[in-house]
Amino acid sequence: MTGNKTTPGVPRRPSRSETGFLLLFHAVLSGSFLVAYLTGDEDTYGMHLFAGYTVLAALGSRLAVALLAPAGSPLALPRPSMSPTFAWLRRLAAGDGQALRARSPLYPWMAVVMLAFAALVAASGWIADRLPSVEELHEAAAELTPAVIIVHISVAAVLHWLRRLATARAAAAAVG
Amino acid sequence: MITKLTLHTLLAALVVAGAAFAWQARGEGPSTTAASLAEVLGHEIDLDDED
Repeated sequence: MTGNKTTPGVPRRPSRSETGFLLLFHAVLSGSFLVAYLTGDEDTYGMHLFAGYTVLAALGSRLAVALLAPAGSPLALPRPSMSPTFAWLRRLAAGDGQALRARSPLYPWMAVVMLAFAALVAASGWIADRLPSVEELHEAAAELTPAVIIVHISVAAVLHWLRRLATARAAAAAVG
Repeated sequence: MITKLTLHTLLAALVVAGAAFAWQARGEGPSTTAASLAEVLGHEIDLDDED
């Protein structure tokens, strides 16, 4: 018997060290991805390779930690699910403010899309170094990078601000 | 949180960029390293120019 009660399918809140690891992973992945994107020219090809390998190392470390993490751990790989997402969207459409204050089921979708996209770009770059026919795939995926990142940041920002707004309104209603 | 994540990203990007630059310039002389840095910054230095 543990003190951590969890809802099936919903990871418990991360501990301090787990949060630290996830923040470090996010920083290394996004920082090295940014450097790799900005150094795609021939003059900076060495930097591009270094940053690309750093992306692969970050993804590999994240995958290894996820495979070792117990079920329900926040370090396990995100597992998006359709039915909670549709239920959450229906609650939003019905004007249920509590849906905004709860953790959105869109976050696992965002995480999976970003991890898959980063893995596609980095792995195709690594393969293209040995198999030139994969280079077009690598370049096409890389060209999508700004759009994917803008969508990722926009969705995260909108969810974050909506949650703050809903929490502030609930607090104001409780006081009033 | 978003500001924190953005700052972490930029800090990590600086560290990775520095390490990547050092890696690219490894084993090369200081003048070549300076030329590489100049190229990254958009300038050109001709190391063979003896004038």
